[in-house]
Amino acid sequence: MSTRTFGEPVKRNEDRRLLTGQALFIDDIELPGMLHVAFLRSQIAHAKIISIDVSRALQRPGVAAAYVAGDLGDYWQPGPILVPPPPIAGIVFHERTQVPLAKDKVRHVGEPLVIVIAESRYIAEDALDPEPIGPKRLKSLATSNEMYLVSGGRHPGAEITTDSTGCHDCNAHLVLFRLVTDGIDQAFDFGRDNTPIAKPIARKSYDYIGRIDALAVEAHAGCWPGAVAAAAHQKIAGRLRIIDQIFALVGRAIRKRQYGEPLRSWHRTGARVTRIDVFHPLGRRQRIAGCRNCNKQAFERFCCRSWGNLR
Amino acid sequence: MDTDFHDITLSVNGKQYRRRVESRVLLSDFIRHDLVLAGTHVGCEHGVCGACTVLLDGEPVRSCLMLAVQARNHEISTIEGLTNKDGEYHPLQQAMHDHHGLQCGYCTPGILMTMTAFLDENPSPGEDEVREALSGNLCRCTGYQNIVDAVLAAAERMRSG
Repeated sequence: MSTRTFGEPVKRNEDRRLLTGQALFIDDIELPGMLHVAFLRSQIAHAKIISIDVSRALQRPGVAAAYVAGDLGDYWQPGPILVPPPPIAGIVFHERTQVPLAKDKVRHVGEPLVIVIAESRYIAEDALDPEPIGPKRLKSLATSNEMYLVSGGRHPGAEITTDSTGCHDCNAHLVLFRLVTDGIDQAFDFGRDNTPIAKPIARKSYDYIGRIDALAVEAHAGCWPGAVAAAAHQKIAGRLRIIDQIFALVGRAIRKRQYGEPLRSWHRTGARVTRIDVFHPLGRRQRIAGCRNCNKQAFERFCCRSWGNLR
Repeated sequence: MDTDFHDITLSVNGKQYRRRVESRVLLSDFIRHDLVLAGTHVGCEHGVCGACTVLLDGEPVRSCLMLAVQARNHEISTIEGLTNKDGEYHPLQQAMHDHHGLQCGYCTPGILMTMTAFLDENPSPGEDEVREALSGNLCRCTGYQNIVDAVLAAAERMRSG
């Protein structure tokens, strides 16, 4: 057996590209006529969305498109549960996964509201004008315990809404499940002199946040070429390029099962797939391309369809 | 939005460039997109992560916190200029490779530029000093230990000539 793989550290082949600035990351790729995307994100933790008017954004020179949740139609779906809840008897599980764009209600700071597509990132970000949005601010809550107190009616005066599950939904809880909590006082016994004594109780309250970031880092990208406005809604099949690192991320078996079909569907449209040569450990790894309900996937499919590429 | 442009001349890795740039263009974007030197990476764009660090007249700066027009008539050094003319590694690059000081490599250019300036200023650093100097560069892969080892090894090699 060679010591190439046993008995000594293995030097990586990719290091030279990374150490000399020659590696190819997604943001390093420049294509003719490439469009750029920017998202308007909520600066409010909890609010009802009354209206979003993107007409001003569309009037800006260089802006190709601007979409809100309602424009996505059937592509708007809550994302999947990537990490299921642990098998705890009696658990009450309320699924709260991300959606592509906030619809009707904002649930956390940073939740995307509008997607703007423009000739440059500068122009796209210029068009993220929050003025047309009229949110009705709701009370934002920081902890599940506070949420419980509110949803349990122990927080008089709070203007809180509950959804069909009876669970208050807000904040950056991607997946939230709770048993019951009685508040911090119940975590203590009290001694003879009324001194609080920490009580070894089983934890009753869980905030479960799947290790799923809101912003996938270096996951994949779609590039739409063409003369922007003139190309909108016209067939430009064959000129779409999907840039993806999934080949570098996953093993062959997973690649074939989970990512094979989406890639084949892209290829059938004439799209070209460019492999970037960097293994990036950041961001979302699971179901990057395989899940149609994945946020980014929803965007890509919707935008591709809107632009006459994927049918 | 009204735009205004400026003609600027600057040196990057010893090469003179003359470009017409919009006044609001970041130095990081200018280096990456106008000069097509994509080795300088953009992470946070808030001056926090250090990925975009370049040397401005030998001093490490966050290129995402500077405008390109501010670099007029200055000398910029980026990761692309760190190897010698024969393409041989700088001792710090070699040490990073030898000590597995990188994984995904996204933060690596910023770390290399920060640490080359640091070693020029402090050729015999202690571990604590290296960690202090590294504190402005975020790496999510390595846990820093191997980077610290690499910097100390590079310092030793550079001292021994």
